[in-house]
Amino acid sequence: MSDFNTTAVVDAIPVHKYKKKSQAYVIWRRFKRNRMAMIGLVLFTIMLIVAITAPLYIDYDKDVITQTISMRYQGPSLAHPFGTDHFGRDIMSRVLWGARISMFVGVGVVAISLFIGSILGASAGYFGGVYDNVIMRIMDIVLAIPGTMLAITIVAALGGGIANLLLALGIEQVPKMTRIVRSSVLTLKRQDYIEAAKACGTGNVRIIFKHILPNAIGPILVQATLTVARTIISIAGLSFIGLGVLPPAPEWGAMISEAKTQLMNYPYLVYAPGIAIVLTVTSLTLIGDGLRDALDPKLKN
Amino acid sequence: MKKRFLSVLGMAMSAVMLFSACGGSGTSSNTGGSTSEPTNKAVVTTSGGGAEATGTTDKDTLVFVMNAEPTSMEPGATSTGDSYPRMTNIQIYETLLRQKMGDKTTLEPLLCDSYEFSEDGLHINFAIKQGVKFHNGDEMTVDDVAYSINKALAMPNVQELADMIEDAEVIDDTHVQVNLKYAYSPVLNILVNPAFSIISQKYYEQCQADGTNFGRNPMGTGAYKFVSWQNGANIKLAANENWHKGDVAIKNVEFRFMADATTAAIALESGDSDIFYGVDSADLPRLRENPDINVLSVQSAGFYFIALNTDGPNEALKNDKVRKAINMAVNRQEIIDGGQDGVGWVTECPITPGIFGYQEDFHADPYDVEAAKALLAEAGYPDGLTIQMKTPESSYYSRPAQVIQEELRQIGITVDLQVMERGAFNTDVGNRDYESIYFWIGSSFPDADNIVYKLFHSQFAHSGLATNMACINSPEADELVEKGRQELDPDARMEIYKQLSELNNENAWYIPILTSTNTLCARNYVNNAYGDSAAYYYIADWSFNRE
Repeated sequence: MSDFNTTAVVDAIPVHKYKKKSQAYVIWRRFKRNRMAMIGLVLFTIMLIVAITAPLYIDYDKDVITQTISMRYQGPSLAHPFGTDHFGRDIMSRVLWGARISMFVGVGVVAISLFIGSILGASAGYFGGVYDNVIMRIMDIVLAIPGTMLAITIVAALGGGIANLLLALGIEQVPKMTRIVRSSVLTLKRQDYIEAAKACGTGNVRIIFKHILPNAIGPILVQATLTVARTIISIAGLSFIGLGVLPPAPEWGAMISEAKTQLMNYPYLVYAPGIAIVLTVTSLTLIGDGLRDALDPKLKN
Repeated sequence: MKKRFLSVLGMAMSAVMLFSACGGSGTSSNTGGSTSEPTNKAVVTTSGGGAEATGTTDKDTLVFVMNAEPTSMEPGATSTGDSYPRMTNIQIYETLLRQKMGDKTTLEPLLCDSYEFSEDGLHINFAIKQGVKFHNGDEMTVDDVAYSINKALAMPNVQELADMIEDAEVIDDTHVQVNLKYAYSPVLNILVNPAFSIISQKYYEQCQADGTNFGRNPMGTGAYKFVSWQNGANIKLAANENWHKGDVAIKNVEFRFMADATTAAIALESGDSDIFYGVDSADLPRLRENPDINVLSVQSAGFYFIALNTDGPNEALKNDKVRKAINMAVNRQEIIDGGQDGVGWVTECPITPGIFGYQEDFHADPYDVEAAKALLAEAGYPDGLTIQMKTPESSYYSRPAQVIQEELRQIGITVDLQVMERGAFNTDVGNRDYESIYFWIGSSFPDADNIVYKLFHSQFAHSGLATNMACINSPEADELVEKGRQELDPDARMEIYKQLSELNNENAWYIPILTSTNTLCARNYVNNAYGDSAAYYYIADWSFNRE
C-alpha cells in the first residue's frame, strides 16, 4: 500500500518542480518591478546582514554593556557616531546589537505562531465539522482579547526576558495565523488534485503538508512578513514600558525609554534607536505590500 | 505609490496636530477650572496664564504638583513614611506639635500649649490648647485628642512607628497624658507624624455610622479645609477662616497629580504650577538655571540600599564571604554619577546622613575589585554566580540598579535584574520572594532608631511588616537595636549605632549605597518655601510675593 503511494508521488515530482520554479520566477519578476518593495528589500537585507555579522566587529561584553561612567552623554563624534548614553555606552554598538534582538524575537514569534497556526489552521480547515468549530471558537476567544493587553498580562505574570516575550507575542499571533491558513486550506481542499491524491489513498497528514500548504504559501508569507514588522513594534512598546527585554540587553524600545527623561537635554539619545525602528518596520511593511501584489493571481498580466 | 506616501505623511501630520491640540485645551481648561472655583470670586487672575509670574498681586491659588496621589487622607491609614498623604494631611489636620519652620530638629507646640515629661520618662502630660475649632465649627476637646491618639495606635501601619506608646488618657478638662511602655527619647518626633493628627471623634463616628469614607472626606483643625478630590486629577483645599493661629496668606491650594516627572517640570517652567515635588534628576540642572524657579534641595530622610536575602532561595547569599564580596564590588560614587546624574551622597552606614545616630566617620569596606574576586573564590565561587535582584520600575531605582548590575559583573556575578511594577514588587517583598533587592528606606523622624529597628530586628524578618528585608535573625543585632531604643544618653546611643554599623558591615546584610535629595521646586514668587527631608511642607507658612 505504502509502496504504491511513494511511486505515485515520485512520478509527480519532476513536473511539480519545474512548475514551481517558474512560478517563483514570475513572482520575483513582478516583485522586482515594484520600486518601493525593492527599497524595502534592500533596507531589510542590510539590517539582516548587520544583525548577523554584528558579533564580528562588536564585542558584547566590552562594547555593548560595559559602562564607563566618566564618558556619559558624549555627543556624536568620530569615536561614537551616535554619541554615548547615560552610562557612557556607545549608542551605535547598542543599536547594531539591538537589531539582533529585534530580528530574533520578530522572526522567532513568526516561527512559533506559524508552526502552531499552520497545524491548527490546516487541520481545522481540512477536517472541518465539530473539530473545526472547537478550534476556531477558541481562536475567537483569544482574538477577542486586545493583543497588547494579552502580551502585557503574560509578561507581567511570567516576568520579562526574551523567552517570555517570544511566548507572549507568539500566543497573540497564533489566532491570526490560524485563520489565514484555514481560509487558504478551505479554498484548496475542494480542488481536483486533492481529490486525486485522496483517490490514490494518500494520508491526510501528507495531503495537508505536501499538497495543500505549499499552495497556500502566498497569503501566509505576506502575513508572516507583516507580523515580523508588527512584532518589532510590540517588543519596542513592551520594552518601553519596562516589560520587555531585561537590562542591560540593548533593545531599541528600552533605549528610547531610558533616554526619555533626558530628552530635553540630550535629544540625540533617541535618534539612533528611533530611526532603527522606523527603518526596519518600514522595510518589512514595504516587502509585505510588494509580496501581496506580486502573489495576487488577479494581477497576472 | 507617491500618492500613498503623501497620504501617510498627511495622516502623521494630522495626528501630531491632534496631540498638540489636546495638550493645549487640557492646559486652558485646567486654568479655567481654578478661576471658576466658587471660593475665589474676588479674583480673575490665574486665567491670564501663570506665566506672567511676577505680577502676582491678586493671585490666590497655589498649584502644588506631585507625582502621585495619596491613597487615603485618613490619619494612619497609609504607611507612616509615605510622603504623599503627608503633604496633603498636614494642611488639613494638625498634631500636638510640629517642626519649627526651617528647622526640623526643633519642635514647637501646635495643638498644645505646653508639655511635661514625668521623671521616669514614661508619661508626657500635654496642656491642650483651648478654643480650637474643627472645620465644621465644633470645638476640639481633650476627648478628641485622646481618641485620635488611641485610634492611631490601633492602626496596623502605625505599629512599627509607635509600638512604645501605650495609650493616651484624659487627665482633666485641659490635659491629656500619653503613656509609654518604656522611656523612648525621640517620642515627641513620633507624635509629629500625621498619623497622630487630631480628628473629631463625633465626626469620625458619624462617618462610620452613615458609611461616609472619612479618608476621602477629611476634616480637622488645620489651616486648610478640604474642598474636593477628583481621582487622578487633583485635591482642592480652601483657607480655614477660623484657624486658631490667625489668617493664612495663601487662600486656596490645589494639589495636582502628574505622574510623568518631565511633564510636571515643564508645567512648572511654563508657570502652570507654582510648586513641584518629585523632580527627576535629569531635569534638575535646567530648573536650577531658570531664574524664575527656586530649587530647594535637601538631603532626603531615607537612603537606597541593596538588601541580600540571607534566608532566601539563593544559597550563595547565606555565605557571608559572598555578601562581603558584593559589598566590596560597589563603587558608590559611580552609582550616584551614573544612576542619579551625580545628585546624591555616598552612604556607607545603614543610617541616613543628617539624622541622629548617623556615623560620619564610619566607612564600609572600600571598593576593591581584586579583593572582592579573591573573596568570592575563597567562598567557593571562583567562576562567579548568578543572583536575582528585584527593584521597582521608577528610574530612581532601575538606573542605579543597572550600574550595580554592571559593577557586580566585573567580579563575575551575573545579576538577573528584574525591574518590576511597584505593586508586584511590594507583594514579592511582603512574601520574601526575592534573592536581593535594590530599595529605599525612610525615617519618619530624624532618629536612627526609626530605621535600624525596622531593618535589623528579627521581629520584622518574617512578620507581615516585611521591613527586615535581609531577613536577619541575629541575637546580636536584636540586642543592639533594643539597647539603642531604650538608652537615653545620646553618647551611649551614638556608640551603639556605631557598633551596629560595624556589625552590618562585617556581615554585609545591607549594602547602603546612596542618599538622594528631597527637592521642592517653587516659582520664586512663593515666599518662605523651604526644602524638607521628609516632605513636611506647611503651606500656612508660605505666602505670595505681592510686589
